[in-house]
Amino acid sequence: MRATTIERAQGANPLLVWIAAWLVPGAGHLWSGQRLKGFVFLVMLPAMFAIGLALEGRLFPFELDQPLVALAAIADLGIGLPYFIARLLAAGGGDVIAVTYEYGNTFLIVAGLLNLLVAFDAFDVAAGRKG
Amino acid sequence: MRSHFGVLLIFAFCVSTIFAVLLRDDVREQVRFGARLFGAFVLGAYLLGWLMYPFPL
Repeated sequence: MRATTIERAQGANPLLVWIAAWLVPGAGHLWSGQRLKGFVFLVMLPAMFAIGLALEGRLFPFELDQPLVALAAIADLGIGLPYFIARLLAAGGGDVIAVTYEYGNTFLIVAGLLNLLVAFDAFDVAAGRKG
Repeated sequence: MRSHFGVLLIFAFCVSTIFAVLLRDDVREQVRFGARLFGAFVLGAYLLGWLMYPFPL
């Protein structure tokens, strides 16, 4: 008999599931057996991040003397592994005079925040609070 | 991509899809909720754009 989502998820440590879900968008739901959800997140969230980079968006630096920039940096980091890959490839420099600069920033920030939301949802599934 | 409306459509599609899949479990409900959310995004932005038209910055 196939294990239900909750039975599978309860075997996993919720914190590990959260970390996996943060690093690789959708990984937490795939781990819990929610394949369709996991696959959609795996495709859509990195796609949003890539579109943000293509629209000349900027990956903001952690400048604590500028609180809004620091908050944007935290939101950017929310996407997990794609953020580090973009940093390694020196992408996300942003072109402030590009007509799509602010759109790019919006895509990057929203992709990161949505991935954090998805990771907390995966945590709840793993903790048995949600089916 | 330089079309403001085109970027709006892509953004609305991505966010609607993710919220629909996250907040609904049944596939039919996901499609229905996602379509409504997408429509609300696009229509809301369109109406807001027209409302802001007489008030230039």
